[in-house]
Amino acid sequence: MGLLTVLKKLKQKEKEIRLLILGLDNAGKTTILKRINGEDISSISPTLGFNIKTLAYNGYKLNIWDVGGQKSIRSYWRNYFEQTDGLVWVVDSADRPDRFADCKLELHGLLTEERLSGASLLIFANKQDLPGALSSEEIAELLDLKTIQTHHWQIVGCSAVTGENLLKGMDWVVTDISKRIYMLD
Amino acid sequence: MEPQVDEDIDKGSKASADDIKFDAVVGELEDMLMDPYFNELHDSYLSKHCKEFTDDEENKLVYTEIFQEYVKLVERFIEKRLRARLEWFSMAAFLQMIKGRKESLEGDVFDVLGSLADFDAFKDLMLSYKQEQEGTSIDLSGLLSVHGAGQ
Ligand SMILES: Nc1nc2c(ncn2[C@@H]2O[C@H](COP(=O)(O)OP(=O)(O)O)[C@@H](O)[C@H]2O)c(=O)[nH]1
Ligand SMILES: [Mg+2]
Repeated sequence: MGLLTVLKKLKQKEKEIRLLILGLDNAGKTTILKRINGEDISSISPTLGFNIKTLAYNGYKLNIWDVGGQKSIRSYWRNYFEQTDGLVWVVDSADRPDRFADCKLELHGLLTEERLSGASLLIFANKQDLPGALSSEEIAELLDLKTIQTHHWQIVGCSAVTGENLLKGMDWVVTDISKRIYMLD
Repeated sequence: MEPQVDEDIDKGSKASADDIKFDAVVGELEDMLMDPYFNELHDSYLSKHCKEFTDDEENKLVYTEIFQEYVKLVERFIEKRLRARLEWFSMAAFLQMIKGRKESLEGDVFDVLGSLADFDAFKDLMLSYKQEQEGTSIDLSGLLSVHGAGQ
């Protein structure tokens, strides 16, 4: 971190938490972001760049970054790692079977990134409202989550459309992070 | 002389040596913000890149590259300048120092510098530059047509 970034951090008045939402394209990242921000989710188009939302949550100021997940732009994800306190990995639980291998590979790749090494990891097994959706246990198995030793992690089955369990996931990640970085209060 | 007293003097002089260095850096940073050379560097970077920016809610990936390059540019400029003017200056030592004295960072200069590392503020700045650039040309043409009418 250089001088300007250090100053920005030292001058923060509120307790800030930075979350980075990633996952394959069409997983529901932007829908989740807008849903937790109380916005309309009926006309969301595929993300080519990134979205940022700032919201107040349980006494924290959350800065949430949502970056597009198409294969051609995944190499840009690295530009968003710096200062990330929590990684939110979103999975389409009703996705085509062949996409889960890719999903697992990308996730495990991120976990080897130095700049994400301190981040808490929340996995949203999204689209639980769809009839063909796999359960969060099945997703955990497909993504080989039990081998993760390097990060605190939690998987939560949810639906961005009904809103089910979104807050449960957010509560876990915010609590896990705040225990770590704001331990003193 | 009692050892106790010596220790106090040592501590006191160490603290005031740090204070003197800190104040010297703050003075240099304040000068820098007023320096036309710095402002020109800043302005030319912004006017070169502001055309990329739109006020769409979704951001383009290239904004991040432009922003990160800008932060580096300003940080490099500051470091070079401080090292040229204060022979003892070390950025690593200064960063260490300010982390230990948050209470001395009240001044405007730190507000301004800290805000330069804020992406949302940067995007707003870019958009206002863009508007200004577009606005200037409209003003000029307005002026010309008024003159034209008077002839
Ligand atoms: N049924 C259902 N559809 C969803 C859910 N979340 C997102 N979608 C749909 O999945 C598509 C992709 O969503 P989007 O948020 O753009 O995905 P992103 O590419 O990960 O940002 C959109 O058509 C959404 O309406 C969900 O929980 N249930
Ligand atoms: Mg999206």
